[in-house]
Amino acid sequence: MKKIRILIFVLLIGLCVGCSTVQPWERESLSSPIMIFDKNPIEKGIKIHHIEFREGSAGATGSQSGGCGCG
Amino acid sequence: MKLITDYKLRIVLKNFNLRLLLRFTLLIILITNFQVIVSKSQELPPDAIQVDFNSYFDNFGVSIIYPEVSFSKSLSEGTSINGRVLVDVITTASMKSHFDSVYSFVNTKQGLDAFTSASKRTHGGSDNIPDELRGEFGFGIVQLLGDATASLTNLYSIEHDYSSETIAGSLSIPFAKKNTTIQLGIVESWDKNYPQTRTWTADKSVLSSTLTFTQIFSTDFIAQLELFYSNLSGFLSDPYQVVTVVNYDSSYLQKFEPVYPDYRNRAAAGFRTLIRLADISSLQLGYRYYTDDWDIKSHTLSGLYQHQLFEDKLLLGAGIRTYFQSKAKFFKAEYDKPEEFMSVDPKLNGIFSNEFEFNLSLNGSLIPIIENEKLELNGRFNLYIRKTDSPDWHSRYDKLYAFLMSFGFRFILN
Repeated sequence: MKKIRILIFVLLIGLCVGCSTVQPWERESLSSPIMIFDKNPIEKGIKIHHIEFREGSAGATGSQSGGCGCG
Repeated sequence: MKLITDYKLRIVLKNFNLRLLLRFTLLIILITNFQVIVSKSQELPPDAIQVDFNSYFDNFGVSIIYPEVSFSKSLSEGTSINGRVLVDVITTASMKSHFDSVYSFVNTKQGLDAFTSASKRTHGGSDNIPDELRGEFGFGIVQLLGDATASLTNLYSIEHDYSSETIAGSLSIPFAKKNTTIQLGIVESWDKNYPQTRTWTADKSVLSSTLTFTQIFSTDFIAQLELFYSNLSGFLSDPYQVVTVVNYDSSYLQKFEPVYPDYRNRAAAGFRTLIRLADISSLQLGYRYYTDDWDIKSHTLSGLYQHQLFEDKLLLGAGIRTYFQSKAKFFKAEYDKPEEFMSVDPKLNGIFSNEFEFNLSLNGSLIPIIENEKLELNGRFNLYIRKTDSPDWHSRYDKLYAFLMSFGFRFILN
């Protein structure tokens, strides 16, 4: 079952890669601030840090936190 | 007994192997940083200095003010360094448990429950006087390796009863005309806990790995999948919390330190998308599933709307995050007898929370006196509301209201 999941995951990635249609000369519009996931990663890291120490979950937020004993 | 020993041995070997792998990976990144021919195809972060003033206030009496300064500076066409200094000024950061009344009776007022870990107070609760400081110092290097980007960061955090050292490495590889990027990140930290109210010192180590897959489908649609796995071992408890065991039949109570398992495996998978709605606005949507071997499972939903004005010189954002969590298997709001593992920590309780965010980013060219486009002013306000299944062990509130504010500037140097 685990091998099937990994295979599906790899196939999905392959499928996504095949979907790439953006050419290098079209990429200018992707540099717009509205098309960036985390425009200010330092600020986001600080916010995530506070929330992670008030909840039981961590990770997969696009940001790393840690370093204090408040957890 | 032999089974338990074998099990522990397996865990030790597993951790040992993971640590070996981490150190080997970090070593490879370090070596390649200085050996690979640099290419101009990728871009380094711009030379910049960023200053932020952040604050946190909640209805449990916790106040934190923390200025932060960070910078990045390129050393050559393919190498850049960065640094970070942060100071936390905190009131009531951690509660200091007090065991004078270990065998006190139910309903008596004798003894104390807790007071803050750095104060000289003789009673529980909190006030607005700052009583704790934390300093965090970071240094990192970013290196272009052909089309790939590698980074290595060292962080050190110190406070009066806790220290932490972290090494983080990441490798980001774009392909398919840079429409697909795979990023591998590994973080290891070594923490030391030495509570003021105890004579012992305890260690904790955390090894986390992240695999991120980002796909640009079109100029209007980007998706990202992130897989996270983390292994924690050592002292995972909070020495400043107090577990009260109440036996109503015999009318007595006893107070204990929390007892946690000494290991924890955590896993999460997050998926988010970025959709352009019009030339000047976009919508980020995200979902994350989390699970661990303490039986905590959580679902997180998030959305962020962003709108730009004055030819992207002013960016406004509004977001919402909703979170559901099941409680840890050993968490109880109240114990009637001592158990192998005991915790009253609200973050291990069943949780429902909401967070609302408003942010803005203003380019300096729009400010009449300054008129400098290398300057960017940033501001953010967050309201966080957390509802736990049972009241907090100390404040007795089941609802936490927290206000987070941040404002600062970033100045591009080149």
